[in-house]
Amino acid sequence: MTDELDLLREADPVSADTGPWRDRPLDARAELLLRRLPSQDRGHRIVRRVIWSLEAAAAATILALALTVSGTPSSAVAASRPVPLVAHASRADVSLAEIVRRARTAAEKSPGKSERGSHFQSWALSMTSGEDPVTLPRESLTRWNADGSGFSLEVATDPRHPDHPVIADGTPPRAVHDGKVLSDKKYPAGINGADESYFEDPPAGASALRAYLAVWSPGADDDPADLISAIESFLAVWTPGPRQRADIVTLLSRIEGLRPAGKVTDRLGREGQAFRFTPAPSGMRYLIVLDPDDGSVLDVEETVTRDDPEYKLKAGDVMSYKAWVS
Amino acid sequence: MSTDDAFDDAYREHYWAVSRFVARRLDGQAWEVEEVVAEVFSVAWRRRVELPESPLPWLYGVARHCLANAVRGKGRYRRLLAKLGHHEVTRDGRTVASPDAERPGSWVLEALSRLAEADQEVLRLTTWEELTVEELGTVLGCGRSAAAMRLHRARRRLREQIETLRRDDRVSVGCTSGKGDKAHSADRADEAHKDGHA
Repeated sequence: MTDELDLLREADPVSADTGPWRDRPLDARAELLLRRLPSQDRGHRIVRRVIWSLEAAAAATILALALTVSGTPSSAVAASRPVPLVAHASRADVSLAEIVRRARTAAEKSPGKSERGSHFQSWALSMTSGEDPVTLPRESLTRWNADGSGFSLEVATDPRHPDHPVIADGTPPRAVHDGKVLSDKKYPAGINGADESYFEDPPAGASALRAYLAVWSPGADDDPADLISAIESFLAVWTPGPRQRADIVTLLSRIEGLRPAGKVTDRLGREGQAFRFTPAPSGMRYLIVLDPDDGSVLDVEETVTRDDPEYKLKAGDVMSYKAWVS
Repeated sequence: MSTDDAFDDAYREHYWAVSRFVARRLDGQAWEVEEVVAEVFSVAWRRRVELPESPLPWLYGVARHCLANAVRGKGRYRRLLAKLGHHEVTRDGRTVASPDAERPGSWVLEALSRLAEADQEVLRLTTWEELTVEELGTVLGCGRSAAAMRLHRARRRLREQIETLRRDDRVSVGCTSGKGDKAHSADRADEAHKDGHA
């Protein structure tokens, strides 16, 4: 008689003989990963795992997962949930094509390189079933020095409250006011972002940039929602120069279904030109806010388009946002 | 052979086995599996001086930790996205209602899913990863006898769940009051599940 173990063997959902995980020589992706592993030896790794938001965790890719190691994730602290940004259409709206043109012009005048490091504020709902979907809004600052040393600082902050603590971007960086420091990491010389995704310098040209994004964010080369997520995660690592800014808005302008939404005053009080994208049938909507003068991505906000009682979500509620400070 | 060479060999030999290990447990899209597998080998690379002579069970142990981290970080987010329809449903056809259904292996997965996670893992490692009891101990971080005991108990609980499913199937086919009997069986299943946690 067939015993329970035999039955279970027959029910193996992943075959070694067929399908994507079958035994065979390494494919190109696996070979690439193997070749890159030794680069992780640069410097002595003392980095800690910091899962600082579910949003970031979802966007994290190969090497970020690999090397941002140990330590404790910041605990989710209840805070009021953000309200969605409101866009107002008007005749003064600047079209995406015009923003691309301006960004290209700016890039031609001053190509300027992208800088490793980022500064942004973010929030993502906690998605704990039956509980209020809130987490602590936070501000993250990452900077790298010429010798490959660097730091990453994260504090609690809410952009809607002017008196709330913010990061003072100086040397050394510090949290001003009474903001709670969620994480404070320092990297020794030689690391230079090797523990992050997108650790190689971004290429010039929109198509090349898209291919580059797809290396760390598979799907970015053929799925618009994945492309937007990839751009978000890229901007969490790099502060783009004029050239990459132009490439990014060029990529956005190629997204079919990206619609003008109007002018928006974002959570940091900046006015930008917003564009909306609703990938069907995702149940989510992206609002991308651009600086109409140079094409900088100011904000990316995700809202849900359907009610979800389990997570106490209503259509239109914010699921996450990111606002880049610089 | 240098440590780096040994790692290289282990990587080439076991990359797909580790990928299957992750794919069986992540229930995600291919790129998600690839991300976790990349993490597994990145962690393994950093710890390569610990690489044992027989590296696969050790790699599975690393993979278990990486999966736990990935699931902790992404699970709720992914579940919501899946619920909202953002991701393709990846489980369709995986489970069916009864032993008489078209895919006979699938209801065994249903029986498996009723067990405590610890029991499920012991059984998966034994059958799908084809580990010996010694290797089981390596992955689970316990001794051989403890691993054997855990396997023994998990097998018994799986048998009970299979029998429960079979009984449920007979009841639902032959009796109009099957709903109440099924509820009773579900209670028993819950008891068995709790037993597995104990």
